[in-house]
Amino acid sequence: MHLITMAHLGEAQALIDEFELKRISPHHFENGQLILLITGEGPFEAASLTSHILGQKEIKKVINLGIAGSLNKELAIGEIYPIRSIYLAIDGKPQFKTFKSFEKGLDTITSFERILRSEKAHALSGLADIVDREAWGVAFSAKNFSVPFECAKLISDQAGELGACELIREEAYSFSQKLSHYLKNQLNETTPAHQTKIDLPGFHFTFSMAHQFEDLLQKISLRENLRQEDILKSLPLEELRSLKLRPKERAGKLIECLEFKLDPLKEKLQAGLHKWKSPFEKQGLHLQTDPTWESPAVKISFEVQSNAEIKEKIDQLSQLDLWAFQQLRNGSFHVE
Amino acid sequence: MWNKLFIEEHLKDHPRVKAIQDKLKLPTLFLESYDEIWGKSKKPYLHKRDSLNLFLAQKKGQLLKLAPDAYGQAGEPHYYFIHAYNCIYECQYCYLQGYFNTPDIVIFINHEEIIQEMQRVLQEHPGKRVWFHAGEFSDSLALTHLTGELELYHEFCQKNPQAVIELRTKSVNIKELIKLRPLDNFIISFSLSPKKMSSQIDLKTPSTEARLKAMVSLREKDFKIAAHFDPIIYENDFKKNYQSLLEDMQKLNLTMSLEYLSLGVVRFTKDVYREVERNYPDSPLHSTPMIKSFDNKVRYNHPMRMWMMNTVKEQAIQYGVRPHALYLCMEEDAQTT
Repeated sequence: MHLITMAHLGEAQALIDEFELKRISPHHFENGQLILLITGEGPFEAASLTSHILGQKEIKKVINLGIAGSLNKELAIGEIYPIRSIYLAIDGKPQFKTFKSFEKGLDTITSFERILRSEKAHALSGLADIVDREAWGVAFSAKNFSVPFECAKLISDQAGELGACELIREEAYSFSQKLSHYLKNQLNETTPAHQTKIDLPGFHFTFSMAHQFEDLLQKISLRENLRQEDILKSLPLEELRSLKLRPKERAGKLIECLEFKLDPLKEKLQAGLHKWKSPFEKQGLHLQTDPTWESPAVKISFEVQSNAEIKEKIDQLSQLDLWAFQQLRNGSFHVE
Repeated sequence: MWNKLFIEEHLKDHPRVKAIQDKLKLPTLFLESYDEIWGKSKKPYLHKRDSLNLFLAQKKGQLLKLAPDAYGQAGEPHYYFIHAYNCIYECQYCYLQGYFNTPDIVIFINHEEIIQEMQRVLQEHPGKRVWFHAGEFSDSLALTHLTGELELYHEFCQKNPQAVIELRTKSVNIKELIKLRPLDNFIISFSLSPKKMSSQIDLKTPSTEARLKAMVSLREKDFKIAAHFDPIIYENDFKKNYQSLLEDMQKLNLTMSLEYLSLGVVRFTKDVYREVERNYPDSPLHSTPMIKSFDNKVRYNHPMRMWMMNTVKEQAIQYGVRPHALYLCMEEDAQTT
């Protein structure tokens, strides 16, 4: 269900007709798919009523629609603009918190007071192209409830000019019809298809492995400028399938293939580290290094059960040289 | 390019302000102090693409800041001065996207006061060479055709041979600069990346070729030039691409003429990295794994960044950069060669 918020009943009239919304209360109209909320003017009022509905109903998206004043003489009266960012002004002063709606569009500033004088409009014109009275409050509530938010405004007048109220009153139904058409179009727009989930027979990815795999695919796709499908085709899937491994282990190997592809040093580092560690590991000396390679420290651990074993381990340890590890850590090797 | 001009009321009759206003002819608003509006609301960084405002203001507070270690060549005091906040360019790795709350540009007008402060700092370091860098918070040349302050800083260098000014830039806007007499202590340094990488991530900046051309023009007029390979970013053919950049520089006789070349592998604070991910999700910057490093900055892992730094360092020497002109920056193992 979508929640539509508008400040005045006058702006909402055509929507109520078009979507056959039933009156639940003086502020609340519904049709099973849409809830229309009349918030009144003012960001606090809008935030409080919006939060009330969001706390009660399962809402997929909040859409704030309505008329607004223009702060930019180039905007056409009667035109609907998608809103990009929503700022807030209290006593004409900008406030820090801002909200986003569409990626592209105009910016609006929600004002605590009606802008009836041109000086006030002029001061706000440095901040946004449009001034409205409630969008910030609605966006605030939507954000608090983690519900996606969209906003679009119809320019009803030039903010701060005389006669704006009369003009709005005269054009109310026509404005309302435009907003209703806009909403209808928005709701009809198809939602983008979700990315196809990776399904590779013979491989089992846990949730975190799947995430890692997708992330690596995305990175390689950026680097190589290739489609993910093409990268998948280039992987040794059949070779891995022929290995006697459990599907989860096979998925791990596949992730490793991608990591080697992405990180030009990983394979070399892994092989070098293994070569340095293995003679000692075979003797029961465990050499633990920072997996991110940030720390130069090496933690050495072993088990002993007698004094003779201690002596033996100390002898073995005297053969340990950190130079090979430090060379690896300092990237001192040849890579094409 | 600009949306609106904001001017601090007390500066409205300042000749440099008037000159900017005359050149830009923008809708203008006056305010008591730029920070009544600038940065007061969180303005998304990418809004700079279509609604960039310009503020003309007086820089208050600290006019010079001591530069962090490894900012310039070691062993001498380094300061940076702030002539502006924010930049007209859009480099995908730029730390400014996570630094201020707005991409709007502030140009400070009180250069005389900044220079006075430089003079005072010079006296704190008698007999020492003191570096003053411009370009920390904004490109130092990009708007100089509008702002008209170069002459003042040049004059300061002329009067104070123990001071060195470095103008860091990606711009090729050298029109105002070449009107001045070259000085040994007035260095113009260009940030450079291989062509392909630069075209992908240094958005709205002049191409690498154009920057090299500007360097040649300056060198021919005997200006002191330097370069920064910073940030160095991994890509396929990383070695070949740096080789080709250095080859181009060598052909233009630039490698030998560099006062210095700094090398730094790409790095981000956590906040900036988050902004980069948000603003440029498809950037090649995300195609190589990074980790949280020793100083909490997000970087390539240690072997990778050391390998990259050393590779480019060796190549630079091979193509004629004097070894003692090279310095490595912002790395715990950084050492001047």
